[in-house]
Amino acid sequence: MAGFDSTQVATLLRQIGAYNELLANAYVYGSLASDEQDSNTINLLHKSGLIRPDDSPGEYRVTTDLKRMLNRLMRKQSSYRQLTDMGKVIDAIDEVVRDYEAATNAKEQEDAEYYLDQLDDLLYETKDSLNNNLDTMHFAIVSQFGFVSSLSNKIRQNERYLSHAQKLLNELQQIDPQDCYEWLDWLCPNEFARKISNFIYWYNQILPKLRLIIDNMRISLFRLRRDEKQASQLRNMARFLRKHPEFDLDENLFELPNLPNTLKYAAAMPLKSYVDTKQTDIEQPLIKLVQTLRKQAVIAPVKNRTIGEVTLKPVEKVAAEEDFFEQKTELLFEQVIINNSAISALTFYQEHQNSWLDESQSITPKEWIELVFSCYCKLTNAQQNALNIKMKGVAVTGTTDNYSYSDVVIELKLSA
Amino acid sequence: MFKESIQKLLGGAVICQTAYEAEYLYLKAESQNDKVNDFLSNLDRKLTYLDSADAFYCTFNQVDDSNHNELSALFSEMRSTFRPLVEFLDLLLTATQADLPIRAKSVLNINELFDPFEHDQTLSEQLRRLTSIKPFKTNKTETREQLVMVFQKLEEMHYFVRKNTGSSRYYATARFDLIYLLIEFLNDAELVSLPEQEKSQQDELLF
Repeated sequence: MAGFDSTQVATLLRQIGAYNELLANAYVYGSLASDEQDSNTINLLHKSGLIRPDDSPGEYRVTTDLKRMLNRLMRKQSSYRQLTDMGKVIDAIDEVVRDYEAATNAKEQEDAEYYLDQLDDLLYETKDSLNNNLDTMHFAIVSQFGFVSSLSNKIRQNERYLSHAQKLLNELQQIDPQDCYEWLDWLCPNEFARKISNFIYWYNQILPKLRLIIDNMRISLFRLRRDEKQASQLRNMARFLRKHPEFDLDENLFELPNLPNTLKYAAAMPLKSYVDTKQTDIEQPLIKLVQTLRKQAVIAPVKNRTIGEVTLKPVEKVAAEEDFFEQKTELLFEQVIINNSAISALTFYQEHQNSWLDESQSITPKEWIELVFSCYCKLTNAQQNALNIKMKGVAVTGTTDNYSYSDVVIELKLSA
Repeated sequence: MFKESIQKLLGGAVICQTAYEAEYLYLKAESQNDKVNDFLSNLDRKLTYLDSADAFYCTFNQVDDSNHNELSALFSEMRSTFRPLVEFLDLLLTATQADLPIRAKSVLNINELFDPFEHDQTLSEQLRRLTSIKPFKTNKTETREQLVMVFQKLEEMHYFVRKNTGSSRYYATARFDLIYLLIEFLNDAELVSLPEQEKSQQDELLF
């Protein structure tokens, strides 16, 4: 490219590289404060056109050029409002074309090359900026204006984008690409002709693209507005229902003449079918079906059984062992019946204690009394009806119905 | 797919991409659409496409003695669920702090709803009230259980579908959109006079 040598460009790029973090911070956080930095560095970057002073003193921002480049390279949501004044662009192209034509005709090779280079840049920038503009708008529609979250802001953004797109379309429509063919109306070199015709070809394509975007934006705006309406109607309906607990839908809603078609839901139709048994061609599958059903009813699932052994032990005969003292309680009950007199368990114990000791049997008086009581409880109902048991005891202090017993007396019931 | 689509439509299903994807794709093809519509016209029905929800369902052509009773039954069922459904949708709008109500293709993760419902007393109280009326009536007392119950009931009523039974993600079907359609009709036909929307944002402080 004429006008610069590659060392100059390399110096600038080296500068960007040397202050990468500083520039990155300024780009990401919006600005950088000069007091944190060496003033020489700031001056250097300012001179190179990489940063510019901010409105608030002592602060610096990245320049628009660098920011735009970074936005582009970082694929950030850039502003769609890069208003492309196509009239001016076409005028600029026209001027360069004329200069190129003059230089070529005068056989000034180097100058012609410079103009061709300029033309190439101009055409590329125009295409690129417009393509980028359309891409941004397209992305906005596809993401449903995802860069703002609330519905009302989405609607606002959609409206702005739409009006911008319409303005752009109006502007582009004023240019007739056929006029651009006039630039080729001389014995021009092939390279030049190719550039111009590519541009015209692109231009012819961009308009339908833009129209499509505008259509999509209209649909998107319509949808967003409908969503907003839906949400507000739902909220209002909920509020209305809360205020009017008596409200109910019209019983004959389905008969209303103005009911929209989309609300005329048809009732579900019960679907049933019966088999025509006389139809011969379905006889076979039918028989098969009936048989499988029958089999299902009869056949119980076969269980896999495991084999286990059972050993039987012969029943052992054990001689009944009678308890010595239980026999003595029976003796006590017998004596009551025979003598028809009340016998105290304690007295009985005292009388027989020695003879029991002779037989080397011993029991404590407490256990004896408890045994007599439990044996009385084990008597059959008839036996219990014949005998009475009287408990001798004193109430436990502090309670009403609890007693501490010291003896039981067995006697015959009077009625017996 | 003709048979399946017809069966679903006659059974009262709302066919959308979330609820019955295969049938939905089948009906999307215009030629099939005509075929189905021709068949349904013999049964005094019509295939209706709801653009806003991208869904198909059956509508009746006219009301006469043949269908009066069944339509009356269908619409009386709709009458009984209308109020609780609106309450539910409004409640959800508050709980999720969204400005867009749920509709066909919306996805809700019930786990994300437990927190707002359990920590906001107004929400849990409204939920309690909602679960005291049909069709969401339940004896459950825990907020979490009540919410699960409401979602399960809505799944039964085909308002939600889940990809598998244990999942916490509920996909909304086009049935929700039919509620908004009804609200819009009630509003437009002036069958109810809805209050004007309250200004949601205060422009500036008043003092």
